[in-house]
Amino acid sequence: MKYHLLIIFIMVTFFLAGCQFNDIDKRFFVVAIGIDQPENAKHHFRVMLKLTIPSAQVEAGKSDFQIITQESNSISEAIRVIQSLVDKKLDFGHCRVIVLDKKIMQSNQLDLMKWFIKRPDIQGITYVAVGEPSAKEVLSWKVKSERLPANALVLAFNEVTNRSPYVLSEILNDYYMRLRESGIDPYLPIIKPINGSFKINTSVVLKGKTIKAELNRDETRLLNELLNPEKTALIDVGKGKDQIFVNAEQTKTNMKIIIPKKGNPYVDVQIKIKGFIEESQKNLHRRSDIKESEKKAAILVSARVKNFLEHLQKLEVDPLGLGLKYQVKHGITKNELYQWKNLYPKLEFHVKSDVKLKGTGTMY
Amino acid sequence: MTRHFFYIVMLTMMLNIILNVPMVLVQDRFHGSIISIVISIIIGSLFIFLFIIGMSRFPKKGLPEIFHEKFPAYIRNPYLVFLGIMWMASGTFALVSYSYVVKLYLNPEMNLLLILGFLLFIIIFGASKKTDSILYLTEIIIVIAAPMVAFILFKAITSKFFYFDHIKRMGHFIWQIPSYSSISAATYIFIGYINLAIVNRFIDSRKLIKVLWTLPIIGIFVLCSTFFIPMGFLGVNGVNDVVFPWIFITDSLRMEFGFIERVLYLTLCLYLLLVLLFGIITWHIGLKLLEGVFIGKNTSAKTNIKREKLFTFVFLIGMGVLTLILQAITNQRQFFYIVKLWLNIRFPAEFMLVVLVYLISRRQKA
Repeated sequence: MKYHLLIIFIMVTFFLAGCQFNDIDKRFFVVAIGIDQPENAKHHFRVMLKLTIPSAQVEAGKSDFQIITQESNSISEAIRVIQSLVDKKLDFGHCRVIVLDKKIMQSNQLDLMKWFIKRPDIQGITYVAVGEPSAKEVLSWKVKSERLPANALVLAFNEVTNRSPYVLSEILNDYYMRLRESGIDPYLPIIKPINGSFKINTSVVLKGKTIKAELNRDETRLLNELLNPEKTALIDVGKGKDQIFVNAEQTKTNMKIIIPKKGNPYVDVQIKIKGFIEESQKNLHRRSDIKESEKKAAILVSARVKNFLEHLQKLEVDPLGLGLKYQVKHGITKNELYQWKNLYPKLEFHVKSDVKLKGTGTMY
Repeated sequence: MTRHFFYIVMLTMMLNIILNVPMVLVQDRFHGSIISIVISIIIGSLFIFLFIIGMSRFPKKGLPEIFHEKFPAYIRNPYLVFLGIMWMASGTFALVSYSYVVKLYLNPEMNLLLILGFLLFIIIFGASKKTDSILYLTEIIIVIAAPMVAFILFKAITSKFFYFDHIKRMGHFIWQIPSYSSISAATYIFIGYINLAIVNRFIDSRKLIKVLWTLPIIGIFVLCSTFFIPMGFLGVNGVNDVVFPWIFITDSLRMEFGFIERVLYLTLCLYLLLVLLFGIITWHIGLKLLEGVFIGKNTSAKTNIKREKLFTFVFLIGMGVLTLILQAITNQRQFFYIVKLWLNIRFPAEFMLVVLVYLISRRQKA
């Protein structure tokens, strides 16, 4: 029996081949990949890898990295060439951010993304974003507070560490699904380097597989609120003395496409918001005050969301997946897809929102 | 020991959430997969009921002993060998599939044959043990693994990237004539009960009949999650782009507060455990079915026990070598084709066995 146990333990150690025949100090960890428009017109891409340079002490602002650039017709070829430019083996297991250039997004994104999807060592939860003015600028930007290379971006996109409603985040697998399926369109956040940090509060929306338009800060926030119910939104109601700010903790959105026999087809949007009043000029002592604020906020939210949905409609993009909802009811054949294409620009939006204010914080 | 039977059935179900079965179902998703899931739940539970009712008439007896009583040697022996090989093949296919997964995600630089060789080593070691100790092992592993599988399923359904609309879109493809291969693949989920052929020696299968109604319910749940959850992440078209949809979609999940962020690795380690256990069980049961050929010969003599042990190892190693050859000569596409063929052959073979056992049990006075 002892003999058997010994054999088992020896077997177990075989499976603990932790470094896969290659020690950790003989590897280069790729933490971010950037893809830019090439300078040479012959090539399709310019691929950049951000490699970490490990150091003994981890300190804020002391993250050290190296960026290797290679122009090529395909990413896999570029990676092979980059491998010949560095001394250690490239390891993509820690790649957490993919930054794309805006110009590169005018070509078919699905073909580009297939390389990332096909590689099992690139995580499906890798964040995808657009870099402005270029991917290279974003990758080589030094953030003051950063302790590990590319960590600042990862933390900014993470829903747990950063709950700002302006920060949209998109992961690789979801981005691929949105590119692949008809009826739902992709979106990507834009990263802009600013002095010592990043600004992530605008976004782009894609139509089908190529870029369509850019959304400004407020539009990005609205998109984020509609997509992610757990984001805490801020609603500013009224003007001057009556102005209040509502901190919306929960936003539930329910959309339905309704095609009545008579009249125009419309989208029935129901929004339910629960929140607290964060800031107000007036004291809100009475119950009726809160009721009034709720009503005002609801009207405002409805108008704002309606405007935003109509804006998306004008751009002919559909990041909220209304097309999917249409397909659920009517089928997913080519004929229905064509009908939806004609129907979407004609849709009306009936937005109804219900704001519930739970309290006013520490003050009345 | 009745609960051990449930562990084995549960094991087969959990395992097939990710391996081989979704492959066939996803391919046929526009050609009647949904209706074949419904049909297979009916057929699968019917098979389970008939087989268990049949086996319960023969308390404490395995299939070889039953056949020994009822059939002459020239019918019984080839049939037992056929059953044994069929059953071992199911373990083999799970192993080979998983060696591809290991190569892809865990050890990309290791030789495929080497990976499979290590897996086989453990399987051969485990399969040569006694039946009851394998049953205890099953209990330990299932008790560890089942909550984690449930956790992964829960994590998947509650994920932000799980779009229920994709699944609803599949609703337009319900009423289609199901293909034979999708039915036979979907019924494979329930296959775990076949182990009762040997395990009946240790289990009082009459006690099982009372609690059998739970299996179809679990089956519905498992089949739906096998088929629909990857679709919720990847869309109805995209789901066919990836080789292992379930493993792919666990990569969309993140454990913010876990030791490791990628749920993928939790899944991989968990399923490594389940695949090894499944391999051990199927190979062991296959071995015992084959040993049934020698039943009735004097096994108590010392030389015979030694010879039996030798036979066990030689046979298992022989099967291991065959598995390695299968791995070496096929590529992944060919291998999947063989699995699909095997699933198609398996279904009538299973049907025959169940009907046979039920019929001979009718003549048996309980």
